[in-house]
Amino acid sequence: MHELARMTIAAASRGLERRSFSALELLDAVLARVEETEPRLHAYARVTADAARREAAAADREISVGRRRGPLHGIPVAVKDLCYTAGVATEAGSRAMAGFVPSFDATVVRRLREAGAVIVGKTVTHEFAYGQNIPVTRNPWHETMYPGGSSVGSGVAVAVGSAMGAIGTDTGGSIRVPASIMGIVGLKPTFGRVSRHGVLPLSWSLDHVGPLTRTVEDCAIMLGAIAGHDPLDPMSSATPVPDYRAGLEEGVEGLRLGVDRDYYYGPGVDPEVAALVRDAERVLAAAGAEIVPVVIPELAHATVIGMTLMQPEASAAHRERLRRRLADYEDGTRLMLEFGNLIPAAHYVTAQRARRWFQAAIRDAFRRERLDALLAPSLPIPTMPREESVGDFLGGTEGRVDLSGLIKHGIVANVAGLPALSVPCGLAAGRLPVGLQIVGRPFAEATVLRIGRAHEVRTDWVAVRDAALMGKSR
Amino acid sequence: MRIDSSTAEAVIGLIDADVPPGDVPVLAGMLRAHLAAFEALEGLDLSDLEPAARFEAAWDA
Repeated sequence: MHELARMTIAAASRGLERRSFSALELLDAVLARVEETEPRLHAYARVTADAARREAAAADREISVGRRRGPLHGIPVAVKDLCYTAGVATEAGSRAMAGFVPSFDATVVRRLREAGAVIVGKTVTHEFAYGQNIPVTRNPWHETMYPGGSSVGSGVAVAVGSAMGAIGTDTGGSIRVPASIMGIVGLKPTFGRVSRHGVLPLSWSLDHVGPLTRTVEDCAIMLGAIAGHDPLDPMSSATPVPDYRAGLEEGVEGLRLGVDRDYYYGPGVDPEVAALVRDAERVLAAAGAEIVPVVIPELAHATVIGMTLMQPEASAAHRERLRRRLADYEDGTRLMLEFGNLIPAAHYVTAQRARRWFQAAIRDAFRRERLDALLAPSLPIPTMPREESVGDFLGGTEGRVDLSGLIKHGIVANVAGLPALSVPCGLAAGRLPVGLQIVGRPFAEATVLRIGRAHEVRTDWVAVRDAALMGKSR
Repeated sequence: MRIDSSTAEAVIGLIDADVPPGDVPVLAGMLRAHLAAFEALEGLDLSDLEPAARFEAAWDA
């Protein structure tokens, strides 16, 4: 593969600034990687090569006259096909959206463009980020294994270098799940930190938008470009956006990192996952962090609170379209959306009240133990065989909503609205990545990134991943 | 709250008459599973908690 496609965003940005290569050359290297990998992996729903070439040429012109916009200027990135892109089909992985072409960009896309990023294409998602289907996208680590979801194409594209960074969405873990499975970095920011305007909703009170990248520094760069208040998103926060790269190298000396072994290491957690995440704890402890055992019994309620919120909200979001296009939804999606209509309104309101109780319990634990973050496995297992990644309620009379196996670790941060980062921390079974999850205080993305970076610089998992998926070490 | 399958199927028919008949038994199973899981929230003391009109993540720690 072309060396340029192997670069991190940070390194490519420095190269563009020094004019070591052009944005067009960088894009061509990434498009060559797209051609090389897409026939096998199917990370993209559509590649917008011509538009990307125009954007890269425009970036070159601006940079050549000293009008460099920042570290994303000229960088090829991908966007989950849940985000509106003006003039480019946005189909959310669903026949029910076939041929839909938005007239405007989602705020997150607009901000990427304003930062000078080059949009390579739209990445595959599970249907409406909710589907129970087996994705068309293949796992480059092991083609018979589930590649993660719902931001599955974003994860795979970043992992193999067919995008230098990508946008995903996360309602119950859908950025962190593919990040963990691909061995890359994924950040679900604080609720309200990144606008969801123009992103097809799944669950208004749980949806988040965030970046997937190959390194923590790249994640900080992308977050810096997309974060900030947006009056078009009623949940958007006016909290000022800091420079997320500024403190990245400050280390973890003196930080207190909580670990709830009762919740995150209970039955069902793969022993190799547990061992690798404990290794990560030791890495951070050796770097000066204090690992603090904590018990937050309320975490056990995360899944029932989250699902009782998510399911009716999703059904409300799809109510009109489902009636018009019922036959165009996949079976699993249709069943989930039909089911959300059956949850009693009093249950939904009770879950909203319980969410405040849940959030307060985590806040109190952070205060009581003076925590800077929680550490946990991003997933209880490395991944699962593709054919097991479908909802198991199809075709049975005793259907059940058994998503908890994959979302149990992730949905805590959605219900509480807290920032949560997944960084690679090892390989299980020799070739299945495992993620370390770092959950921080509200709007403390800089702290979780700093912790992730401290782990990254003391381990070689980035180089191991790149060697496995891109041929050799950077 | 416990609910048997036939009652669940009747309730589903009342709430959403447009559900394809083949989905009803599956939905009945899902509803029963939800009702069982939701019992975990029934015992919580939420007496001082109103549902937030607007969910915000900030806390003043």
